[in-house]
Amino acid sequence: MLEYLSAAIASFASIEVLLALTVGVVGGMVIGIIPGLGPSVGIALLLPISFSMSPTAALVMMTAMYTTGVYGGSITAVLCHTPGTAASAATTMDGYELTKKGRGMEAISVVTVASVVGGIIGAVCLILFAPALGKISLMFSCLEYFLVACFGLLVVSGLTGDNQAKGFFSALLGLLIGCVGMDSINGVSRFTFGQLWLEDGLDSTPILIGLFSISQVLVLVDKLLRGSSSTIVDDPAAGLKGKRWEKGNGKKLAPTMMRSSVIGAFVGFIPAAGCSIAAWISYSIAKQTSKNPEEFGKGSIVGIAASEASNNAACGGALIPLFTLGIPGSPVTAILYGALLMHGLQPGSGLFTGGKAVTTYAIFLGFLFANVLMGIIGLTMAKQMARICLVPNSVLVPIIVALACIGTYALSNNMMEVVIMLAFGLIGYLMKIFEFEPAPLVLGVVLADILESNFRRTLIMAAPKGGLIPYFFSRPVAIIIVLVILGFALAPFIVKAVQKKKA
Amino acid sequence: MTKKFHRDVWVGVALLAFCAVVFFLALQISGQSAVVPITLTVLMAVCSLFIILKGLRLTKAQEGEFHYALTVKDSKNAFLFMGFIIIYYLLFRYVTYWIATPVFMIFAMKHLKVKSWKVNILITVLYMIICYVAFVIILQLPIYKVGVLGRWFRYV
Repeated sequence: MLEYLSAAIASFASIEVLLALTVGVVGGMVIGIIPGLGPSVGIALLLPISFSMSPTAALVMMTAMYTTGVYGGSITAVLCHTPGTAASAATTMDGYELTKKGRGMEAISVVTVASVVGGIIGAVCLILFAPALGKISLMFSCLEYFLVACFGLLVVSGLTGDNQAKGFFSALLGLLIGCVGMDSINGVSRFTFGQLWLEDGLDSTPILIGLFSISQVLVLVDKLLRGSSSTIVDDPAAGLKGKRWEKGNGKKLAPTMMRSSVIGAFVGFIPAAGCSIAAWISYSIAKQTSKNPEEFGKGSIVGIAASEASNNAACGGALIPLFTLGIPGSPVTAILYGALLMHGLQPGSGLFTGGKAVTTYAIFLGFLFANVLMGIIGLTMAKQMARICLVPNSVLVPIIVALACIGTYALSNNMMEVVIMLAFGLIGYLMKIFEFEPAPLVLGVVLADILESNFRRTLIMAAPKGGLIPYFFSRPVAIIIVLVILGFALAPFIVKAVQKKKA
Repeated sequence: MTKKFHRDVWVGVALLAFCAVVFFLALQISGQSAVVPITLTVLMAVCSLFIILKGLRLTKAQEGEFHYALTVKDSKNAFLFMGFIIIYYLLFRYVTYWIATPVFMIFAMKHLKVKSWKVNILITVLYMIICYVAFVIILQLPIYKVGVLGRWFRYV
């Protein structure tokens, strides 16, 4: 591998590749910032442009856009309560609260550092362990996907807020919303009311934009017209006086970032799991293991670091099954799969031996340096970006609405997506009034299809093997995941019991 | 004097009614496809009952008036603005984004107390230019297909 890596460095250090890297990084950040548009739209746009480029330059540009697109989505999540992608939704909870306190610059810096750390760890996993991890991902089947989704659902318990019944209701409603459309196993229509556009189900992105962005716009309007707040920050005079990086943040955040990055890379390499589930799981684990869990949701930098390190590490993880097995686990990796084939790179062991290995490792190096460049740009621009929170709400509100509408339309060039987004904006505002948490609902929508379809596929696969229980015990990976889930679920009770005994 | 119920009681009752409607709809789904929606609806109904119970507990513990951070009654401004957004959507859908947006932005900024017309128009024009370059010229979004006047703004 070392010989391939040294040759890859030489191949990487060309003007064409470096230029492609810069375009990918900047383009990804910009496209991630626009609500609704994510890396998948950006990469799809790059496909025809990259046709005449070398495979290394083309794939470096696209993978750079993938990781920086996820990061870009977090910038607006932190500053305007508008997550660009589902992967940034978890960051909104603490990032926006921190911005309101006039610590927007620090929030952006934590997002940047955590994203870079996560991205680099994901890239290192990709470079060092891709072939080995690729074999492990082959051990995952419907049952394991289902169990990972169950793990994701367990996260809900940490997001329910003060009233647990309301939190669980939100999560169940999210799962029910995920049932809308044609059943992927039987082809039966559910809750479509004869509407053809509902057959494909409801995409999570318009729901996310509505719940987080439009509902927050309504809150801002209400505050503004009542004269209680004219900018996002509570005290505009102290808006940018907060430090970029508090002393001791590094020491405080390092363990969370490392743990979340490993979780992110692991969840990322499981096809169909993805960045958003990784972010929620890491956020919830960070909350459970924190000495100050009450700070979460009120502007905890640990919460921001957990979700950000994880979602960027998941990008690197998601590339592992793509390059080693040709399994695209998400829309973004599916487009990247097409790009690999377009440039004559057939995923599989062939990419890690011979002449093509140099190109493969050059792409991986590009992915690694994309994270570094993203960090440099992000930290340099932190102050400028944080200025958004000083823009008067009277100006910001119409811009957010107009941008949310066109961004949602751009998702699939369909006006019905805009209707869904606005409907969930109103629902989100009503949820704020009646003190329901929107985060469990989003998580429910994201997990619904993975949970149901994989569970039913598991039942079909288990039938010839004597049923679900014998099938479960024949799958070691499933047993390990169940043990992890049980550990996660029981850990708080065990810790409490031990503390009680000590007292 | 009768004691007022905490609003969670009414919220729970409304959610229970919602669950009943969804349950009825889920029963119409054929075969195995109905299992998950029915199960979810039943669980949602259980959660609704817990919400009602908590509301009743809060009612029992009530001393004086209930204080809520946000109420429907106090959110007139927000609902009015939502109405503007819906009108904006209709203009976008049936006229075109490129006319609906400046109208909405200028009106919304005026409603939200941006006093200077100069600032108002400058921001709107800047937004429209950036948006047109980004979405139409660079991203080639086929937004000209939306609204009767959309084709006037097609970039060739």
